[in-house]
Amino acid sequence: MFSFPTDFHNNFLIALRLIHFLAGITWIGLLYFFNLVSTPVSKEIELAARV
Amino acid sequence: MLKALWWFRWSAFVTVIVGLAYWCQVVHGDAAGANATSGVAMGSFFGIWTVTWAALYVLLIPGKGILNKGPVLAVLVAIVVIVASWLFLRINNHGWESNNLLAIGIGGGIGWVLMLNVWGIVWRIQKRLIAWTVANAENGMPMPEKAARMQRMAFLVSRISAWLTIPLLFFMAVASHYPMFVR
Repeated sequence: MFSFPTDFHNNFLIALRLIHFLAGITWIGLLYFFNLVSTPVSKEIELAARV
Repeated sequence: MLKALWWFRWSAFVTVIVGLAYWCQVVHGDAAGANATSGVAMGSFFGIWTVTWAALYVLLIPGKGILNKGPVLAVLVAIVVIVASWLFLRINNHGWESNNLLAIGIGGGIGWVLMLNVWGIVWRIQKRLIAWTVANAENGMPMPEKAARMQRMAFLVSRISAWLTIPLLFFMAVASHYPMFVR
């Protein structure tokens, strides 16, 4: 039905891709958050509350 | 906010480092299959995209007049990135480079630019802005004059980075889903 590669190299590449996806989603997701939410909101709130 | 910035910088770092490890495997595999060396692909990748980042940074330094207008910057950034991509494809045109290599060479290159943006510009500025904001809130120390300009630069870099994720993600998907560079 399905099988994982049995050699180290191909499993290593799968691991690299998975880590790359997860870290990339975290990164770009935060970038979108900063651009779409954080920056617009911080313009409306007090200086002291921004930190 | 500091927590979010921590995740932001380190996820950028992990994404790029792991991506580079993968990229090395792709280049090495392609080159080995053709009895070629990977020097040109690796050298042109880091050379072209680091210069691209530097060019974008230089565009933002004046921070006034026409170079402070979003639409103008958008056009200039688009031109710089398109020229960089064209140059990368032009140099890596020996016939053995796979769709995977060429797509990641562009998408990953934009990712390299974005990481330099996070570590080289946004984080350096935010660190100082946060320190000044804390001093302002706790001791009433006025914000330095250059704070507004730095905030504007961080904003522009962040905005440019966000737009560049669109071609970045497009070329990452192209690597395995759309063989547009197959001859």
